[in-house]
Amino acid sequence: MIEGILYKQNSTTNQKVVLILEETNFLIKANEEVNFEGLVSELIISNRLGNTKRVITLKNGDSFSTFENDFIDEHLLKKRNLLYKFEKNILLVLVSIIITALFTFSIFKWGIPIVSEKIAHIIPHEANELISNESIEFLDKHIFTKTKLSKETQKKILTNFNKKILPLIQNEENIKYKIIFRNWKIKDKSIANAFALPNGNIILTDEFIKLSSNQNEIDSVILHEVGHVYFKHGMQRLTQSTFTALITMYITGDLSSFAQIGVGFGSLFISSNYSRNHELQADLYSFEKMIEAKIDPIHFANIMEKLSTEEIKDSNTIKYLSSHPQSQDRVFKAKYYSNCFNQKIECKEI
Amino acid sequence: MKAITFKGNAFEYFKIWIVNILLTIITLGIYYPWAKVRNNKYFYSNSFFDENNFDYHATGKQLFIGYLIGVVLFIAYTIINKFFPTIGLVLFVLLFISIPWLIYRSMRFNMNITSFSNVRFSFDGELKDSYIIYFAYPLLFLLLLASLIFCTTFFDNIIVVIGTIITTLILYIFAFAFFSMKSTTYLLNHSKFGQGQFSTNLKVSKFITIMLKTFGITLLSFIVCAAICIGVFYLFLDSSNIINQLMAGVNDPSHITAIMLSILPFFFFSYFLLILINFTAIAYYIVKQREYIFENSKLDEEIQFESKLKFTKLVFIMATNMIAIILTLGLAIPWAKIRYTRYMLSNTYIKADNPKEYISTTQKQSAIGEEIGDVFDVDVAAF
Repeated sequence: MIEGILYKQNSTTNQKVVLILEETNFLIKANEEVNFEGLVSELIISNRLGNTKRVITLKNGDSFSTFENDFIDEHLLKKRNLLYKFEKNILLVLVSIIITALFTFSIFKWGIPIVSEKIAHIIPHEANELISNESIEFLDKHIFTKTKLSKETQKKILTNFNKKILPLIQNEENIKYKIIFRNWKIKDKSIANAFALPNGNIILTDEFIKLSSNQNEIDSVILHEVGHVYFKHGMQRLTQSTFTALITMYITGDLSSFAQIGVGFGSLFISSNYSRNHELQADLYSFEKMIEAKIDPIHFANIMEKLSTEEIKDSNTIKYLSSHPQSQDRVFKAKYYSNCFNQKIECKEI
Repeated sequence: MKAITFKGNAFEYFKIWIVNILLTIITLGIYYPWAKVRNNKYFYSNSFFDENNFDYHATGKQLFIGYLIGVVLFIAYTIINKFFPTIGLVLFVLLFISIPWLIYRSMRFNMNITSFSNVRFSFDGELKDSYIIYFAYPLLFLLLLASLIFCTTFFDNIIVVIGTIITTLILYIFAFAFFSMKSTTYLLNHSKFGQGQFSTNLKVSKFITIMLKTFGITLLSFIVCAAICIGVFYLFLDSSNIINQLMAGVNDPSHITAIMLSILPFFFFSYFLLILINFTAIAYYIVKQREYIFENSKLDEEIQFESKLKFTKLVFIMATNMIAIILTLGLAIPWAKIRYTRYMLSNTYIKADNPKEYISTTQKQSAIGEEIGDVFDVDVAAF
């Protein structure tokens, strides 16, 4: 026998009653008078949620609500509620915390990179073309100006690219690699940079060409950019950021806004970690191709050092702080490969 | 006058919360709507007034389709926005246009699946009004602002510029107060409990006063915090020395790193103060607006409401909640939510001398609008 409140259907009208169980039948009594009776199997019983009030809907639409959760679980239900059992078991809850932490960690550490790599390689090349054309149009309109390099310099770099670099990379996939020269100025300061679009267009800025001391340095950076195209890093970054945003949404879904500040920091950290891995992968690609073309990887170290001192001069210190250990590390790796190259031994990956 | 009591328990909720997250993660997000139901149901059915409780009746299945549409749209939006910013802008405009519809649908759905003492709430506002409030008014405000700034560009005079800034500020305060008043009136005056009608009578002048006071308090706390920051900076950090060292260390990266690290705690300290200012503004606004809305609203012309939140106490709860969440890497979230809800509800008073019987006449509502809005974080201001 349990106590509870009987509500009339869709009404606040209610009275205190007791529910009595008699084998497969039940009775609801108010003040010793039978109010309702029926088969237990006809009852609709709500799922248990902690120790909140349980609602049992009767055949006539009225509902009986009670706190006697244990009695209901034991006598009225054919099978116990799995979720509640889960939530009640302390050991399982502890295991949940650990699994959740591990799972979240592995998804970010391995899951997202692996899945986005797969997706990036599945997406047809036409998508890359579309995206790249749109990007270059935008960049030309708002960021870049025409190159001021002499026709001679341009031709020299292009000829070298066609003769030396293309044979190294051409056979690998059906991507058309192409060098594009542009001038990039912020206020009165020219920016030295090189980057690749997913369709194989590699953009070199005027200041970058000026900064480089020889053709080998330019080649080493071009090969690095080819690496980005080859591994489809552009597409990977896109899928990665989409997934990160989605998963963040799931976890923060029912968070109040102040906890989201912390999560924002987290995802910033994650995405910088992803792009660091991409840089390292492209570097490695560049070193291997350089060795294949008999170019000393030390040239990559040289140009990197020049680019990063260039960065110190005018960028703010905080940005510098975050990118610096990385370029130091990259220069170190280039020197390591250069060493192998000079001793004519095969380098082990480090 | 009797307060609502909240019987939720942090430990009990913690277990529900962690199981929800686990299942959501391992089902790759599919479980999310069911998790949301369990979560909401826990809070609703632990809220009691006079031994009767609230309840949340949505089912995971109901929420699922809208949720699915929301996720697909969200992914499409993220991708398109990244690669085709121009089309992304068009999508943003489309989202802006659909917000009134999302609010209208989610209001209807949310009220319908909420019950108190076995009787459902409902919402019978019109879509047309939703468009006037959540689309036409904001658009009008933006146009006014744009034309004001446009006119200013013809003058090259510092006084005109300052005048424009002040006018913009006044315009903003007035517009926001007006918008809040219209929105609350729309949402409340069309809400029903069973066959009982909510009604409210709000004045825009009171909203403006609250906005102005909030603005004043924010400004004041900002000045105080700035003074503290500058004081700390001069007391604990030798600023001229830092700049000299930075100049000297340009060619030595490890040197700069060391200096930056030494300033880092100061940055965190300032950042924390900024968040505190933010909380102060939010808490003051919530407390005052809630107080005003509650005392001017009625159910069926006889049941009255009152909000007795204290501003300092609310700031304290928000700040300590945040600290606890950060220190426990998120594990204190359930405790923080329970604590916040308990404080809000236990200061919500209802005066019902001779409560009559209420009967609900409900019809089923689709959850599509509600869930799409949920994914895009469109939220109706809670009252």
